[in-house]
Amino acid sequence: MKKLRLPPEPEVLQGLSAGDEVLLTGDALTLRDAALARMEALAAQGAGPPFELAGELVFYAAPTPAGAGRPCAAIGPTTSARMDRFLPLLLASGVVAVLGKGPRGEEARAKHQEHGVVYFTAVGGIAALLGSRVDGIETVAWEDLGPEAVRRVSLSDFPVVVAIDSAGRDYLAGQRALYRRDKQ
Amino acid sequence: MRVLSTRRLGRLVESLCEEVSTELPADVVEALSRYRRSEESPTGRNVIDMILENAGEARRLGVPLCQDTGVFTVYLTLGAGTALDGDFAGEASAALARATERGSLRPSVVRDPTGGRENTCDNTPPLLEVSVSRGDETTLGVLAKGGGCEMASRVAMLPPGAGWPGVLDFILEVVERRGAGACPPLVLGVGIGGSFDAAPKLAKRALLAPLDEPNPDPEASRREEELVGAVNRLGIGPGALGGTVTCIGARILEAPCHMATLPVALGVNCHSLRRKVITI
Repeated sequence: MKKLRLPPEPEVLQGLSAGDEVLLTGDALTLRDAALARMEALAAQGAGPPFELAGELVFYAAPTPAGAGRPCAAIGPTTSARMDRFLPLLLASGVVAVLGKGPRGEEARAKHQEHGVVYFTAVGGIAALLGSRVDGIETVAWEDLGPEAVRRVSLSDFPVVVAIDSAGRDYLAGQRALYRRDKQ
Repeated sequence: MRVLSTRRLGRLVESLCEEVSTELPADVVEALSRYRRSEESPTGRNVIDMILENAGEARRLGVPLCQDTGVFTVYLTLGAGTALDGDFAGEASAALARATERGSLRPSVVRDPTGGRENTCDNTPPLLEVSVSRGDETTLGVLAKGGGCEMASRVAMLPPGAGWPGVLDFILEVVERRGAGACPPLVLGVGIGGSFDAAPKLAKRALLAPLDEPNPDPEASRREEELVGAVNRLGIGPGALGGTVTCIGARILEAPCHMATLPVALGVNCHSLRRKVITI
């Protein structure tokens, strides 16, 4: 199991290969549908968001409120493919890695390769477990979006898998082909 | 005539909403454990272990199983000769708001879907499915379904002659294309027949059926097994990380339909099948 400090150093990211299991420690920004749509609307007016994304890992997530003594009771990845229409915006903002769940289309894979941006996947639906890997959470912008506000989450040994590495290798597609069984 | 207190039903809805959010049903745990044995991928087995560990952690700490605590459907089936004494819709909505507050549930419901998409802040309103039964028994159930698997669900109006092979092709195409983003291993609820609007309701209701009891209709039971087998050949695997367990159960409900139609709906559910039905 590899370990990665956040925000990630570019050369360390480039050393990761598709399929590597990695524990993330440090700060990431949560950003998903509603916040990305707002970023897009601002960009259309030639404006930027009130936060810096360069060098950051963006976590496609909307955690629950605090509970059981935790900053957020439960947290986990949402479906990455839904965010792909906003991917050019994130890449142009200098994001170096994204974290979500599920497979990506060829177009998204090619964009990751072109920019050398890593896609991490976490297992969906184990948010009670993952909630123990968050040390802190603070709102960065757009509180009015509720669970979809932009937040800085402090992760501690948060378990992920490299789904697309900086060379554009797609681990999930390979695994799916490996275990596909043709009908007898 | 039996008269039920809507106030009491509200309190039951509240505890059901809290319970399903933190406690994975025993039949789902059992199905996951059973299918783990046939998973060929070591990573896939590891993912199933994490899902089971997550269920233990959620129950122990009383925290939600998933950060997407879902949209709640409340099922009330009234027995013959049973009446309600008040405003069930209001009681159910208030109950869900209380459960959201007490249970650290994520407010995930927005109003004005194509406009401002403003969060209702308490997960209200619940979807209400109130129906009547010809038997004496009254049942109350809750299903909490996340957005990821809801987005993978589909309805189709097939030509009447498509038959079971057509239904199977439709389901496999949907799962092939969208199942990986729906948090596999999946449970599939299938509604066949009825109408354009009735088939999805059947599909969702099918998700309430216990996974550890066979379908009383032997032909439907055979088809459920065929469907699970076919989905498990797609290679998607637990957590979409590849494997031979993409589905841990399928339930089919059928209804008569117009002779010119074959409505079919697939209600895809993630591995966190959060539902409970009680008899009142």
